[in-house]
Amino acid sequence: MKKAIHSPACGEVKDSLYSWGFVIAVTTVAIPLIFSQFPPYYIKLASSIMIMILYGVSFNLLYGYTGYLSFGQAAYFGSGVYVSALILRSTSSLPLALLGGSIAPALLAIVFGYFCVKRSKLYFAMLTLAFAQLIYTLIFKWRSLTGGDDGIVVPRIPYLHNPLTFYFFILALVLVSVFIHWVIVHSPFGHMLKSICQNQERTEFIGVPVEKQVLVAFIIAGFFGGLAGAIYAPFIGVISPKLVHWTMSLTPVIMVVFGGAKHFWGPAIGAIVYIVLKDIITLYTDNWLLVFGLMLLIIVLISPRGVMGVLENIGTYIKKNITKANLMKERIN
Amino acid sequence: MVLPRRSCFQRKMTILLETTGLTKDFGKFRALDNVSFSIEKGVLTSLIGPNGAGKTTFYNCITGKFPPTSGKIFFKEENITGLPAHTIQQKGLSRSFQIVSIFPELSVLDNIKAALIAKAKKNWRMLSFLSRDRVIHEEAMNMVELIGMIDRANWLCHTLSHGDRRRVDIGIALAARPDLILLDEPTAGMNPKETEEVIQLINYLRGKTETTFFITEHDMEVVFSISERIIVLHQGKVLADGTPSEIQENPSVQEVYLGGVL
Ligand SMILES: Nc1ncnc2c1ncn2[C@@H]1O[C@H](COP(=O)(O)OP(=O)(O)OP(=O)(O)O)[C@@H](O)[C@H]1O
Ligand SMILES: [Mg+2]
Repeated sequence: MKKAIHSPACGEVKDSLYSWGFVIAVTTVAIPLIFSQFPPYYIKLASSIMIMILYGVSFNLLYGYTGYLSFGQAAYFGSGVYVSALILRSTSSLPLALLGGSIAPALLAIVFGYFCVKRSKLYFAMLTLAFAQLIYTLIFKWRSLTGGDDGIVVPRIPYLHNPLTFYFFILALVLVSVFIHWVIVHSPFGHMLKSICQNQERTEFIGVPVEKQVLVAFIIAGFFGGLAGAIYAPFIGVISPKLVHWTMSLTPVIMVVFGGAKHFWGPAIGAIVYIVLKDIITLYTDNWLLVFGLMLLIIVLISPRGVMGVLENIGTYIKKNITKANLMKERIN
Repeated sequence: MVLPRRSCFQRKMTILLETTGLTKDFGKFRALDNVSFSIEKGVLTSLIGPNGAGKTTFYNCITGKFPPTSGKIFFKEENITGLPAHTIQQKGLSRSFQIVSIFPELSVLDNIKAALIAKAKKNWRMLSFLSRDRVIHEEAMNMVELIGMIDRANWLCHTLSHGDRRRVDIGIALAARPDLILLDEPTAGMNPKETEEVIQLINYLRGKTETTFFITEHDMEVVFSISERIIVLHQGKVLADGTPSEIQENPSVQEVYLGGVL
């Protein structure tokens, strides 16, 4: 007898609303309090972690929840970066830059996604990568607009000059966006994504146009990936095609695999670990990707569900032992 | 002169599914050969035939998994030939698969909810919590109760026994309250006790819903005990079509299929 076929990567995604209290407390109180004691470098590090969290969470809507591995998210992050930078340069309006920097990638995702979702999951990964390379080449070659590999200097935003103020701005943007993802994955729409992940054929046969459903998830991921890029441009100040390179597509994959795709906060944990480790390792060696790769390998070997998986295992272990201890006590009494 | 015409008209009204000259080729191999027949509302019909007769292929054509090579399919008098699977499902034609096909990492309740979301076309609602949807919840609980899984509503499906997973499978197909449900060997791979339970379930569900059941089955005892009409498929062709007693007496059926069994 055959077992129902489903990808092992498609377990139920776990989370709880209580986690929000913790997240908000840490990001709005603890981090600013602690980091204001240190040079501004550290609060900037925290800001870039926040941006990467949004990038990772949007990617995981596709990967962890729907089961579609995109190897080309840099197309949306990167086009967000460039559209935002160009808008800032010509209008110096941040709201306009954020709007353009997320809508343009979403439009791109409509066009590219239309072709990608028609393929099997393997071809989906390859095709997303191919499209991302297309965008990379375009940005690299179109010197008159993008400055080629010289990049663009993005004008600073006067009212966000203070790093702590900028941190709070980014934080607000990221918290709202991540909360939208939270609602989405708990909505009927999100339920369909989980169904597609676990059994695509069955989902089709309960009356869901699966391709369209995946396409919409793809567009949402493109939109928020773009938004992450759109805020990254003024934050980092100087942009280059490096931000559209395929290694930038690899970033969310690594973060999510490291943190755990099967937990809502997995990408966030992954982003923190990724940025902090990158920061530390680059002090010692240029081959930080190699070191990180090794660490990733170790984590995945210990727990296929990433850091969150390890934490969960520890959690259930403790719970088991507590109930055991309680049982023992009862017996003794 | 008037009477037969009238009865003919009434009969036509109750036809749910009709195929005309349905043919399916896989390369040079003809899996279905000019299959024409109809399913009447409320009549539990079984499709039988030896391995490779084309039963699953027939289901796949009807439910839009792939289009037939030629021929037409009408469901509730509407031509549904070549429509995509999800569209056909939305019109009220559900199915289960020969191999149990459910959402293994979701709970029993969430499996049923998936089907209900799709049926209610709520699959685009992304800014409201599913857990707050009372209508879906109540309906799902009702369905879970109907399939006799209420005490395990929150179990993850991959932890269930094969028999219980088949219950969920049927529940998913039935949750949308379809007009017609196609069950492809619902007792495949089951021990006699589980088989008995599934048969009881099907009989129970028939009484509790408006849905017409169309079943393929290998177990002859099961077929003759629950069917009101039997269609025999052999090498992609309809060999016989009639009531269980007519089929039992049909010499060509006995020859090619039932052999010494009866
Ligand atoms: N997708 C396919 N491609 C090629 N040949 C196929 C395909 N599906 C079915 N067939 C062939 O068509 C014939 C009918 O298969 P089908 O699965 O419909 O039989 P069945 O009556 O359901 O048999 P069983 O009782 O074993 O389930 C078989 O010879 C099979 O090999
Ligand atoms: Mg079959």
